[in-house]
Amino acid sequence: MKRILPVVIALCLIGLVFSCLPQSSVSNDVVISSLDDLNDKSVGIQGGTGYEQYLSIKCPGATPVFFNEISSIYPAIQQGKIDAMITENLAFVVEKIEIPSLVALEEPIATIEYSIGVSKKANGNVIYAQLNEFIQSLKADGTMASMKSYWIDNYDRDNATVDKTGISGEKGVLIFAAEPAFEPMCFAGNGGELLGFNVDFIYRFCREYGYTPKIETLDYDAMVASLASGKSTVAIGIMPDEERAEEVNFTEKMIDFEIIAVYDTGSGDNDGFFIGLVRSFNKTFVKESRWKMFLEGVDNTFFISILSVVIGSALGLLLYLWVSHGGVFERKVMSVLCWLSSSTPTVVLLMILYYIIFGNYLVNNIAVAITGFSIVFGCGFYERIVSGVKAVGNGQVEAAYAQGFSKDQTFFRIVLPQAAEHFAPAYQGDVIALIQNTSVVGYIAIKDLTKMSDLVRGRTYEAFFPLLATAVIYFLLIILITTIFDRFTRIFNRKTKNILKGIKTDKDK
Amino acid sequence: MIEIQHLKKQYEMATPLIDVNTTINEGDVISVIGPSGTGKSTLLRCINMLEVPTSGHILIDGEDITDPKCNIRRVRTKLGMVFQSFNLYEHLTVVENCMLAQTVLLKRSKQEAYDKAIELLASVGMADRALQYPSQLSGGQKQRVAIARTLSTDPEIILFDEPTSALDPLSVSEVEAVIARLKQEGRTMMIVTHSLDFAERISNRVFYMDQGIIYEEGSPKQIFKNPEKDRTRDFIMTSSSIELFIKEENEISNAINKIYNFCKTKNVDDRRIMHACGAYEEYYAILSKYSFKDNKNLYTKVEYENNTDKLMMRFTPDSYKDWNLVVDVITNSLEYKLFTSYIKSFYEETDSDKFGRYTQHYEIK
Repeated sequence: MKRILPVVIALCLIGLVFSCLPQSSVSNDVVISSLDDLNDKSVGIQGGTGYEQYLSIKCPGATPVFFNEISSIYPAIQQGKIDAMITENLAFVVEKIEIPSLVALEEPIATIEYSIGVSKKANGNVIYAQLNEFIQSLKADGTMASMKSYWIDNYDRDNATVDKTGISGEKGVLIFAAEPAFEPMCFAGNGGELLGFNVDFIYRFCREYGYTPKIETLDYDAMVASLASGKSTVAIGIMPDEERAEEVNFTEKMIDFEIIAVYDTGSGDNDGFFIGLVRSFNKTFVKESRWKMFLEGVDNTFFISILSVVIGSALGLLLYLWVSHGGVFERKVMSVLCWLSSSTPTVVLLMILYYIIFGNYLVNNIAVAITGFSIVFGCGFYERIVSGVKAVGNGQVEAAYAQGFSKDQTFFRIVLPQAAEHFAPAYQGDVIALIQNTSVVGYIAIKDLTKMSDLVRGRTYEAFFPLLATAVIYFLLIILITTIFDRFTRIFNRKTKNILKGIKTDKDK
Repeated sequence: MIEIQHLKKQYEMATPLIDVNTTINEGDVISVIGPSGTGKSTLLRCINMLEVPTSGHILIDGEDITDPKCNIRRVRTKLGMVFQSFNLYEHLTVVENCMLAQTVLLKRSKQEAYDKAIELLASVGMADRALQYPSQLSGGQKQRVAIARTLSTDPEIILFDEPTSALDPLSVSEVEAVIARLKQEGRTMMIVTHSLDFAERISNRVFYMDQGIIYEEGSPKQIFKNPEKDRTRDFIMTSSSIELFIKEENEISNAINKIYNFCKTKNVDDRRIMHACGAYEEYYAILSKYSFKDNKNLYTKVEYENNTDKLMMRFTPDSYKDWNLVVDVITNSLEYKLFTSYIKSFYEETDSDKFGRYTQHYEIK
């Protein structure tokens, strides 16, 4: 059975590939020729952009559909799940190259000022003034116009670079929140290197004013929270509005851009299966050394998972000992803690830890993730121990006490080894669930496997291959980690241990 | 050795021990008997502080273990305890069960602990099972291992909490034999038991517990043959029974003698004594003739209920795994007809134990 299972799963996955690969675009019978036509349509919008307010002015009848990242909108529009999407004319240049079947409506939905959001915390006000001054000087000497030309109007995808030299950093660090899935403004280029208009601007600014830029990779819709809490200092391209202005300062505009409605004509290319597969593979892994991004993502996911399991297990055990030595108070505290940790979605807990509890401290976001997952895993493990201990029964405990064993000796030598046998399968399930749950750490600016695949999708404009690859990598990662823990628990498994090791028996004598 | 002074144990709902005073000397084998709920087990569990007494003192070798400052864990290594439900460490093999406390608490080397464990297991006839797990053993075997485990720490006194109550009749005799041998070795023991027959045979002192105190104390002869107090007498008379176990036909006359003596002490009339002996003989004859696999083990319990003046016999043959299969043959046999002539009523409520054995209940005519 053990041998057949991976094969079956692999077959299922391959089957999945076959069923998705010929993603012949759904040919749209829907006719869209003007903004009025959108009124009875569904329109994809990236969450956190605020574009829906402009849409509701121009097309009050349109239904906005929100996506967490822009890269998820393309497959949706290609597969006909939405009728149209809103995008920036900045990005459409690239989108049109990748997905030729996309067509933009001529009339823009709105013209928007592209400006910078600046945190009001810490040295934010100083930087705010410096930014305004810098933007004015760039506009005055024509640099802004040439940047616009370089990154947008005459954008050369294959050769565009950012000059990252000359950073002195004597004024300290400038934390720059970015979602690198927005080519050509901000994206992950060769090997994951951050490029784009925004990045170019930040480096110019830092060079001029003596800061060291530090990039915080965030989902777009988490940026305002990050600025408001002071986790990051600047974020380029946040739409100014009144509510946000209470939390965040907005600089004067750098450039203007238009948001436009785009729909899919469905005349997508139909390569053969294998050519398509090879092309997708190339785009996802080989081109611009994107495999390095996946590797970095795997690295982070693995690191967070393993450490959270180890620390969480230790924490659960310590909590159990604390409760078992304590009284009613300790038990009550623990049950409240367990209840809280199990009823709060992990992503919410992580954001609370990151933006509220550690909001004013500069802490490593990976440490925060490990803390959060360790707490959740520890509380879960505590409950596993409790149920495992119940299964052992009180008789053996009494027998151990009667022989003179202490409470801790009894627990570690008699109860825990047996309880472990009861909770081992559930424990393994918990480990797997933890690994899966780590996919939310993108919310606190960690580039884990899921986030990396999002970033790659932001460049390749493809959904199925990066997603499938991510699924397979998670699958392999889970097999790897559970195997490690399997080996580890086997050390403690009594059935494989030679109990007479080092003892002379009658037969030897 | 152990001195108990004004021991009181009070729960929210009940007070099983009100005022217990006694002294246990080295070499004593004490049986504690009495009706259910009179604090027999509680007394035992207070002696090693598994239950914390409400008030009073327990002195072990002059040290007051009820004193919070007392290092109870060190004292407990001197007090062995054998439980009704064995409580072996299920994740350890038989020999490891007997080694753990030695290596961890007494800091003996693994080799010393192993040698001692094997020696003790051999003495209870379990050495060949040393590497098996408790789940592979029968109840009687588990209890013998539990006794060996208790002996492994060289306790000064062994406390038995109903050691045979959870056992099938065959295993009872195995365990009782082990305890009897411990007595010969001169061990100090305190045994809570419901088996008056065993209590009478094994002990040199008997505590009858009732009303929250040691109600009457004396030698087995005093307590069982000539109790001074009414409550003691009532208990001895009403709940009295004897248990017989035979394996071969030549043991039968001995068993019949026991039944005769038992009935005599209960003042049962001669006609019923004769019927009881006859029923026993015929039942064994049927068993010998119709049993499977030449298994002629028979466990019998003879009970006399004083209040209702009923003489009952309960037969538990070791074979006849499916009594119903042979019942037709048996009921047509001559022996069965003779047997039924001694029987007043047959209780249909035959029930099977966990080994699939059936017990038949009969009242003697």
